[in-house]
Amino acid sequence: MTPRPALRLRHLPAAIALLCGAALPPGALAAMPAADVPPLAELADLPLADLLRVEVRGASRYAQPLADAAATVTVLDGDELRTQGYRTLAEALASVRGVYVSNDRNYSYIGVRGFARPGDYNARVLLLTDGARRNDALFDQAQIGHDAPIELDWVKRLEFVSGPGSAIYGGNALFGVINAVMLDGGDVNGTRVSVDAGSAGSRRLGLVAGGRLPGEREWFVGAAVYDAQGRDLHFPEFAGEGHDGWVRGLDGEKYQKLHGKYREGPWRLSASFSSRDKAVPTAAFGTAFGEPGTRTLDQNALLDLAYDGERADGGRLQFRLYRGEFRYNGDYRYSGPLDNRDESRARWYGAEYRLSGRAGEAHEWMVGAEAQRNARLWQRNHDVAPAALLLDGDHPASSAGVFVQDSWRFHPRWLLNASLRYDRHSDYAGIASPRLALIHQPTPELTLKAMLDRAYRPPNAYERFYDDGGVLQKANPGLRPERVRAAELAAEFRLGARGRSGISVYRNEVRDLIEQVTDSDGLEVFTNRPRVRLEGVEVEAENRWENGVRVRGSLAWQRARADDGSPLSNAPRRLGALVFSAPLGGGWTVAGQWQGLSSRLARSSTVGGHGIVNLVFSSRALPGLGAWSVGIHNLGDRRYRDPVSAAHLQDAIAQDGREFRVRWTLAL
Amino acid sequence: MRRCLPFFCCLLCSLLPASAAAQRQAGEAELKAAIIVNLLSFVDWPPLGTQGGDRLILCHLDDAPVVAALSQLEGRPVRNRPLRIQRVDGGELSRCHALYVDAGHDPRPLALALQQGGGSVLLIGDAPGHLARGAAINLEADGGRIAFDVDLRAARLLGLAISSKALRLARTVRE
Repeated sequence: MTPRPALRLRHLPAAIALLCGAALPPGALAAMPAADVPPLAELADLPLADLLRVEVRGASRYAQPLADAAATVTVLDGDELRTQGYRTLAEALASVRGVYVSNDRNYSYIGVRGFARPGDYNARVLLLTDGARRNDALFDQAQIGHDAPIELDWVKRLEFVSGPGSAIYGGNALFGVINAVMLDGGDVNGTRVSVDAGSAGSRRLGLVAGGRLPGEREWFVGAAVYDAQGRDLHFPEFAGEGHDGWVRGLDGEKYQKLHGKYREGPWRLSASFSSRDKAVPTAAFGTAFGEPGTRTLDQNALLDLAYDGERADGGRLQFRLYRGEFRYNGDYRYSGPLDNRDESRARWYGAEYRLSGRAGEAHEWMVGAEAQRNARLWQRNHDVAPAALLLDGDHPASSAGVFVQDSWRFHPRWLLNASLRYDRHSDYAGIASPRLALIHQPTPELTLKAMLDRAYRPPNAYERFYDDGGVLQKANPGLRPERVRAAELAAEFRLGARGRSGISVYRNEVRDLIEQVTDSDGLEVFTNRPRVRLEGVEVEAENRWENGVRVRGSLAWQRARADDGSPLSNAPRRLGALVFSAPLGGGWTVAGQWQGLSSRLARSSTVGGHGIVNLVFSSRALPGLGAWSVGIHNLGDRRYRDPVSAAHLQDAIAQDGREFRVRWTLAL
Repeated sequence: MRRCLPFFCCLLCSLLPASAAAQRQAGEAELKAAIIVNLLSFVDWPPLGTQGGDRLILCHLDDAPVVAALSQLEGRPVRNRPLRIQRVDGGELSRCHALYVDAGHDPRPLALALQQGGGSVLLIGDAPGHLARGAAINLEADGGRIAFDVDLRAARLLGLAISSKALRLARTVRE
């Protein structure tokens, strides 16, 4: 059932590990510690350029640019990503203020500021890795679970920008931008192998290698293979009719991922590939309950050539050329002899250009242009036996945008950030996305921000053209782009050198919301809905103490309503997160998170609120023993459910209970 | 594209043996001290300065972690002169070549006093607002590393020149 490329690639990481091992003299890497702490005298002997590359142990993350940013930004640094033992982007993002994640045992769905619509494959959030767009061109999907195009292990720093980013990034950046800053070769300087084992029969093997070469050159390779048997699940909705409601052995998952990067001066070439195969245990889309064979395969590939260099006049020039590919195969097994196969293929290429510089003392400007050709947006659906072709359509499209931004410090304590982007999609009229942000720093500690944004998203090929021949879903080629108007007031206060607190008040209004509804003929269809309003308040505080203890906590109150005043589904009124870590001595650290949500509306019922606690003990590299991370996810074994889309008979789907995880990392 | 991946990876792997030293980490104070001392070698003071000629004097106000680290570097040659770390109060700045201003102090009154004829002293700030408040060089944590920003105008007003070699490594340079 799994197409051949995945099979071939399954062996690739192992082969690479072997090759890498063979290429090395045995003693060369053994002598390399993971991180050394040079004595002060030795440090002072380093050239300045090298000093500026040395990482600060326990660094304060709050550089000035964050205060100047025309948005609310949460940064998860490498320390946090490691000590908290996050395994996926979804797990890491769930700790961010105003963000929650739901899961239907196939994909993870991100909710931002009260917005998480059923049937939305994260099309309203933009995922960037090293600045490159990773949403596919067909579903616009930002994949954040095990299906993500990258491993969290390869991420140096994860940033989440709340609020619309269309004024810079165009479509998709409707409610937030996930920016994963990937490890550079110089961050690794050696080879690391990690082995994971965990509950539900999960296993993972990971390799990270990289280094710096003379002449401003760096290289990086990351590879990972994973598989899990999954859990036996009980769905009371299916009990009776000859079933006991249990699904056994149908929750398996496996993935293979590869990422390589080579930098020479301002040039960077990167390539990545990911393939994830998931058995679907939920009888989604009316498939046969408890029968094996319903599964989805998602593959992503990207080749990206980027330039980022200083100009002689002090400005900065960035451009990139890229080519991406996405393929999805869904096998759906129905009761009786009917097997259905769903296939999507997307292929796109594009270019981006950005030029920035200063004008006088007060202005920092940036201009940019971007074009993408979606050469293939192909969807096919057919019954295998008896053979029947239900859908076979390719709808190539292209889009282009230009933008300009000026950051004007018209007074030492005032900054005005204005940007405007104009986009054109081959099927739609041009649309402008403006942004205006006023930033005031009355004292060095306090920053006040007021932001106004307009953002938009054109409907994607899946929303417009998917049609399974009148079985479950029909097309709506006449869909219009959806638009967002957002306003936000924020205050940020620095607490000493290592802490900060912040509050945001926002209001987002979505017009022509693209949403899946059930039409009068009983078929699901994407349509433009009237206005939706999202309002809320978020508070966040964090601090890190001299002794290494760090705490970050956030609370959000939000209200999401349709035009008629009715509350939206999957929008908790309150959510909170608390993230902490503390050194234990002997190189060990204890870390953990609490994440809580109040009750949410599902399609026809209310799902109760929940709070879960995750706990992780991790060590730094112990001599000869490697580094260890031992974690317990959902420590209290809380039973909770997430609302799911109308593709399911279930209103909501139970999430994982207590889960144990161990990771062992060895620096070679 | 997928067909090229194995080749690409092998290419990258073949570069493995050339990997350099392990990743370096250091305490923030030590790192800042090392950067400050290193930066001093890129600064030119006016020939008729008021400072003592045989030593390079780096002053500080209160004791701070960075000062403790700087003290350990006392005696190191900087531009062929041994480094001397001295504590000063606000009024006796003229004998310093450089003054480290920790996060608890405001460089502005010091800068104003120097501009009114107090001497050619490089003010090195260590807090996010310090560059705007008169420091010629300011250190700041950025993405887990230490970056420095330069205000060339503030330096020129005091007759100091900072080598372009250092400016190229600065995160931002105000002119």
